[in-house]
Parts: sequence; structure tokens; C-alpha cells
Amino acid sequence: MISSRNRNTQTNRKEKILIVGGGKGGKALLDIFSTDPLIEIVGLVDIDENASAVKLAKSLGIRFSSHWNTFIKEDIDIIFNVTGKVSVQTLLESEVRNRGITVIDGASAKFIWRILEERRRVEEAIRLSNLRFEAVLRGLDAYIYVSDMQTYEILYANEKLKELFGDVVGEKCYKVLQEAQDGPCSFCTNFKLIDSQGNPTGVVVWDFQNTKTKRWYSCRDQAIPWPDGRLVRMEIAFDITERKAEENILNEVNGALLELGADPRENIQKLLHTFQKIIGKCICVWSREEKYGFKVIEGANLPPNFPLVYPKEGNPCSEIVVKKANYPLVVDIENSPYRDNELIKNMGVKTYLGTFVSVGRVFRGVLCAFFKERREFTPFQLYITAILSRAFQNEEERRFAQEKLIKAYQMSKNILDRASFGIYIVNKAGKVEYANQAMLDISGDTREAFMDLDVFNLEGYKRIGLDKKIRECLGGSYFKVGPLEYTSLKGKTTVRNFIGIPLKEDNEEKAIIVVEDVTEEKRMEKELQKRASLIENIIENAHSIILVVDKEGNILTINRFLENLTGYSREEILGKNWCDIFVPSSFQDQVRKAFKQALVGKTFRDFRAPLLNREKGELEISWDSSVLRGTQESVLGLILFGYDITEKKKVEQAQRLARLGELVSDMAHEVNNPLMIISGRAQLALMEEIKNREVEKALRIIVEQSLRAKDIIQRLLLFSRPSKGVVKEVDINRCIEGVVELVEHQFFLRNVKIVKKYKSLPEVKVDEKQIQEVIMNLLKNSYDAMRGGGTITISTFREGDMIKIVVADTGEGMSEDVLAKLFEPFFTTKEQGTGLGLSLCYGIIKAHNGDLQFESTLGKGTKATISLPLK
Amino acid sequence: MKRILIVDDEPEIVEILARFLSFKGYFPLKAFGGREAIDTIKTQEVDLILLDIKMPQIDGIQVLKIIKELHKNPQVLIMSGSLDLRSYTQKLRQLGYSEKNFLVKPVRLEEVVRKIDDIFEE
Repeated sequence: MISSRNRNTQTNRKEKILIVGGGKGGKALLDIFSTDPLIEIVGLVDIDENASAVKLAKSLGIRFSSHWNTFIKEDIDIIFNVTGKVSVQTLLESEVRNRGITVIDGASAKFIWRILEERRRVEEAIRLSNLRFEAVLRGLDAYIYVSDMQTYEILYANEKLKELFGDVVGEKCYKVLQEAQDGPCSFCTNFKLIDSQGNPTGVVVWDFQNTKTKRWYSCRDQAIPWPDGRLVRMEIAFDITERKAEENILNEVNGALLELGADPRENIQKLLHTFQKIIGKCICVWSREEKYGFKVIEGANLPPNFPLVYPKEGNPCSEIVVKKANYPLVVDIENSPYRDNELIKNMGVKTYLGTFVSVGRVFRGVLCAFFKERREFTPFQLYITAILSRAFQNEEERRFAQEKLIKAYQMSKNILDRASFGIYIVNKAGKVEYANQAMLDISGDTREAFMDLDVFNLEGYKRIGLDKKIRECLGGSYFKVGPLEYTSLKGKTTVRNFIGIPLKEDNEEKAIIVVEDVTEEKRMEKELQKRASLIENIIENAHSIILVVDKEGNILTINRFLENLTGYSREEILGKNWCDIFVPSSFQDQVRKAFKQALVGKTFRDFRAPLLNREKGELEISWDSSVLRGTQESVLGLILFGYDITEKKKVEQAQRLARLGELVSDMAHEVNNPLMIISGRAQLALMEEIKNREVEKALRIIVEQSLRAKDIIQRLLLFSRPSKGVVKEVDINRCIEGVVELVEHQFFLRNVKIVKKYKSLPEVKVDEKQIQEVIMNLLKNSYDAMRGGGTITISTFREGDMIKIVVADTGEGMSEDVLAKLFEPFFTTKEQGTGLGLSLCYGIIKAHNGDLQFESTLGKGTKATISLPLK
Repeated sequence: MKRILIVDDEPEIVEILARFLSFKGYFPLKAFGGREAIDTIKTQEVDLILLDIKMPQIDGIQVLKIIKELHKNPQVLIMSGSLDLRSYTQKLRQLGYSEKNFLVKPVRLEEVVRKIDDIFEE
């Protein structure tokens, strides 16, 4: 191609050229022209057979000669002289004169080949670009063409379009792209692509069914400038036939769903038909699962011999149940275990499609289709099947509900008649239309009399405003009033609850009035409340402990007395185990044992156990128990009554000791006189001369023993002494040390060590001798309790207004029983003991307005604490 | 010879003390109760009264009070089975008698005489 104009004027005629000169220039021309389809190289001329262009010419199959005479007579248009010799130019020009052959000299040739070479390069670039562009267009899944907007001539069509319509370039678009069109199409969008000013408007998008292919396309039309400057129409069209088909199915399904009416039975039929229509020729069935298999309830296209029941197992429907398939199941029968199923075989089924249908989340049955040919389904079809099955499910649920409703409605009248509360229906006029038996029982009227009532004018109703409520209810609002005292016409007063429910029956407003007679319940309730509050009051205000616990001993309630006594608040101990909170650990086993026995009926009376208060102080309590029973006599726990006997016990002990003291002191006097007489007589006798030494010795013994008896009595008297002896300011530590010095050595020999922990103390007013006697007693007791040796720790310290002296040993300790009787005169655990030591100590300390207390653990030791007031 | 009045509701005790005191060179007078003791003091010379406290009707304390009212002024040695009883000790202290005037029965007779000797030496 030299130019399009040349081509247009001399079509199919190639330019014939002769190249003279096999040098560089000849080679370049060969290069350029040998591939040009519009140029024919007649030959190459050079004297030198080995010139570079000659070789190329030979390889390209171009003729060669060493002299132009070989070619000069042939049909030649142009001769290129690239020998570079002017003589050759002159010779050639003269040779071809008058033959119309142009002879181009070397310089001109050079100029031409340069231009041609450049053009060839550009053309190659354009060709590649076109190839790339075409590849893109071909790759696009779209049909593209460009047409002239005046002539409708197709200027360009992509490969895809050509595959469909053939090479349509140059043809009128309406002729080749549409069916039976003689002129421009009525639906042509050209006029939309350019505005009145002749400018492009933008993209016009439209869906269109091609009249020739009958397929649907989504088209994008646009006016674009063509290289020659005119505006042309470009259409890019996508085949949307499949999508369109799916849309149509969706529309179909939507339409079917929209058409669904009030009757679920009809709807189910409609859905079955829609289902069938969409998935194609088949037998479409809704079968419910029954005890023995699947029972066909409805179907579309059911053949007369279709089995109405098919078995529970061995068919694709049962597979759906097993898999709980919530997505449609497709079975290719030939390649499935159901191949040999009698039923499937007889029906000639090749493909099965089914979905799971549940009602209220419970499996109900299967919506399925049987196909007599092998079928495959697009995901879209399966999707639609799933949608339909959901709709189907809804309808089935509705049908189920409706059936239930009908049954319920049928039952309702029976229920109303048998209801335990009165029900009547009243109309707008205030007339009773219906009353159940219970209503008549409550009112005490005959049916006739009750049906005759005018509820708006009942005095009893007006008094409690019920007439208004019923009017409002007839207007559509609910009410609930009561309990109210209602007095009937006959003057009988009852307590009633009234409920009003608006009712629309036969398009008429009515009201259902429910009447409940709660007279008896209210009376009982009041009675119970009265009783309950009385009991609560008694418990709360009782001047003794009341503690209620469950079977495990967890606290259910406590009364105020116990709160005050222990310092615990109800809230902080409710639900906790009473034993853990109130009973010292050393007592817990004993208490739990008694507790267990009490639960099985062996209740305890005056069970003495200590009670811990919040500060872990011990109170002495006497407990009584009784079993807490629920209904049916079941044991719920225990009610524990406790009496605080701490003070009483102290007073009792003090009184007992005081009485004993008086007794002892009275007795002492009575005994001392005879002792005086005995010893006096013996002394007088000793003044005589006694020959018998034995007698004299006996008399002396009488005197000695009388005086010893006096000593014992003297000690007894000390114990009951109401007052201190000689009182002065005493340093207690020194006072104790005075005693310790006396015994320390003796104790040391028996491996008993005395540890002293004195704190400096203010002096106190005491009878030093008496206090020392107490300390001596305590030390001796400790010593006696440590036969195998041990340690006695004496500590003194000040605590508030008191001075404390603690004597603690590591001896054998004492049992609870021994501790309880410790201060009683003549109580002793020692073989040689008088049983007066500690009662004497107790008397002395009490006379000092102090206190003496013992704590002891068997096997571990005993701790005695003396408290003395500073003032 | 010092005259000593022995007062005790127990005749045997009076007898024993009388015999021992006379053996030791004193002149014993006997009274077997409070009333008798007062009568004796009113009518006779008494240097020392050896007095029991717990006696029926008029007890030792009353005897001492009456002696004071009578402006009689004998030495006093109190001898009791239980001085601690019902705060006798306290009452005696109030009347101006101290421990050196007290003796608790039963007692060594020698002790009685030593006490009496001590009182007279003062």
C-alpha cells in the first residue's frame, strides 16, 4: 500500500519496479518493497554478483542480472538507480525514453526509502495496536458494533458479533442485525444519542430482545467521534437471556406468592403448581410423614395410579429426613441406592428433587418432584425450590394453626360451660346474651332471671362503677377490677374480681365479662395475714432467741432479740450455717449431733451450749428445739428457742457460793466451841502429872488436831468472807514474785519451769496476803497438773481499768464438767485435796470486785485469768 | 490478884478457862451469858473481861456497849469461834478494839494467858 488514493484509482494493479545497484541502497529498497503487497519487484541489477543486495534478492526469490538489458524490455513502472553513478542515470533515462517509465536517481531513492521506512514503522505500530485492541474487544463477553448514524452502515463489528451475524461490516444494521426490517428499526436509539446541538448525550442503557436471535441483551448505546470526524453510533450489548429467564421465573414465583389468598389449602395447591411450572415436567407432591411412611397429601399432575402412601425407609424422602436437608436434595436415581426401589422403578422415575418442610421447627414432611427423565438443575432452580419450600412451610404452618384454632373454638364452648369462674357475654344494649353455669352459681339466679338483667342499671354494679367499665369494654377496652365487695339485689355481699374482654361477634361489639368469686379466698387470706403478722410479731418481739434453720442448719430467719444479743444483722447471716457462726468450734460436734437427732424427732430441751457473739464472746444459752414442718408433714428444718442464761448462771454460781459460805461460817462457829472444849480439856489434863506417856502423847495429838481443824475452818471462812482484809497499795508484780520465789526451786526440781512476762503496772489497793494466797493456789494447781514437767507462764498486763494476771500451764487440762464445778467448795479431783483452794481464791478475788476465769483444753493445758480493778 | 470475868454461853468453856486462869494465878469470875456478865460488872470489880461474841439474847458486842455506857473500863480480850462472822470484826474495830484484843477458838490456853499478860503490861 503506497496510498489509499492509488489503491482506489488502480485497483489490483501492482507497481512494478526494477532496482539497479546491489549496494546499500539496493538492499534497503529490497527490504522495504519485498513485503509490500502493492509492489512487485521485477528484478535486481548489478555488475558484481557478490554485492550485498544480490544475496538478499536471491534469498527472496527475486530475479538478478548483471545487466539491465535482461529486464528493460519488460513491463516496468519505475526504475530505481541506486548505483550512485550519473552516467548510469543518463544511460537508463535514454534507454527507457518515451516508455513512461520513471527513473529515480540515488538521492531521490534514498529520500523515498527513508520516508517509506518511517511509514512502515508507524504502520507496524498501528497494526500491533489494532491487534491488541481487537484482542481486548474479542475478549469482552459483549457484542460491539459501530454504525453511521445517517446511513446505518456498519463501520465496525467485533469478532464476537461477527461470529453471530457474519461479517456485517458495510451492511445496513437494520438489515443484518434484525429480522425482516426494510428500514430503520422503530426502537432505534440513535435519536437519543445526540442532542439538538448535535453533541453526544451520554450512554443509553436498555434491555432488548433481538428479533433475529430471540435472545435478550442489555445494550449500552453511545455516540462517539469516528476518526474521520463524524459522530457514529457504538453499541455494546451483553447477552442477558439466562438472567432474563431467571428474572421471569422470579416474577412468576413472586406473582404466585402475591396471589396467595386466605385459604392455606388453596395456597398449597397453587404453590405446588408453581413449583411444577418452574422446574419442568414432573409429578409434584407434598407428602407428610406418618407412622408408617410418607402419605401424599396434595400433588400436581398426579397420575391415577400414584401410591398415596409410600414407606418410611428406602426412598429419597426418608434421606431428606435423615439429612435434615434444609437445601433441596437432588437424587440421580440410576446412581443411587433407590435404583431398585419397587415404587420408583414402577413409576419410571429417573430424577428426584425434594426439600425438607418443618412446621414450628418440627419436621412435617417433604415437598418433592419426580422426573421421568434424567435432569440437572441450575443453582437458581434449586434456590427457587428452597424459596418455594419456605412459602410452602408458611402455608402448612397456617393450615396447621387454623386446624388447631377450629378445634380450639369447638372446645371453647365446652370449656366456658365447665369453667370454674363465671362468664357472661353482654351486648351493646346491656343485655346478657350468654351466661355459663358457674356465673349462675355465683349470682344465685336462674338462667332466665340472669338473662333478663340490664347490666347498665344494676344498683350493685353502679355502686362500684362496673356499669361504666362495661360500657368502655363495649367500646373496645379491656378492664380488670377487684377484688371488690359486691352486693347483689338480694342483699348478699360477696368479694369478686371482674375482667372485661371486648368481643366482636357477627360485626357487633360485645363484651365478655369474667366474674370470679373470691369471697372465701379473701376471708382466708385476711385470716392468714392476721395470723402471720401475729406470729411474726411474737417472733420478733420475743424476749428469747428464735432461730429458724433448714435441714442443713442454714439460717432461714432470726429474731431481733438474737440480733441484739449477738450484734449480727439478719442480712449478714441469712443462709449461713448457724453452727459455723454461733457455736464455738469445741462445741460444734456435740451441737451437730444434737441437731441431727432433733431433725429425726429427738428434740432437745434445756440443751446448754455456748453462743458466740460478733466479738467472739461466749454467752451461755439454754436451747429448746422443735421441728419445722412443711405441708405433708415434711421436715423443713428446726425452730430453735434459746434463753440467755449467762447472767443467770453467774448469779446462780455466786449465790450458791454465798449460801455455802454462810453455811460454812455458821458451821464453823458451832464446830469451834466443841473444838475449844476438846482441846481445852486436853490442855487442862496435860497440866496434871501423867505417868502414861502414851496418854500424854494422845492428849497432845488431841490439842494439835483441834488446832488443825480450826485452821481448816478458818480457810472456809476466808472463802465466804464478805470483805477484804488489810488493804493497801500493792505492786502486783512484786506481790507475785514473793510467791514465785517460794516455789521456784521446788518446781525446778520437778522439771516445771516458770516463765515470767510482767508488764509494769500501777499499784492497786488489795490485801496482799490474800492475793498471794490466790497466786500460790493457782501455781500449785498448775504444778499438780504437770507431773511430767512443763512450763508455767505468768503474765501481767493492764487492760483498760483492769489489771490482768494470767497463769497458764502446759498441763493435762480439764474437761468441761470439771471446769463447770471448779469453784464449788469441797469439789476436788485430787486424792489429798480439800476442795477449798479455788473456791477460796474465787472468794478472795470477788471480795476485791475482780473476776477469776478459767479456760482449759484437755491434754493441752489450763489458763487462769485474774482481773482486778484499778480503783 | 487480877480479877478476870469469863463470859461464854458454853459453860464447859467457862469452866476450862476458869480453872486454867486460877492455876496461872488469876482470880476468875464466871458469867454464862451477856446479862450475867453485865450484872457482875455492875456489882463487882473486874480488871479484864474475857468475852465470847456470839451469844443468845445479849451478845458480846452489846455487852461492850453497855460497859461503855456504865463508864466501866475493864481491859477486854475477845475470844470467838468465828470472828469473821457477820462483820463482828468491823463492829469491834468501830468500838476501838484491834487485833491484839482478838483470839480465835479453839486456842492454846497458854496463848490466852500470854495475851492477858501482854494487855496488863501495857
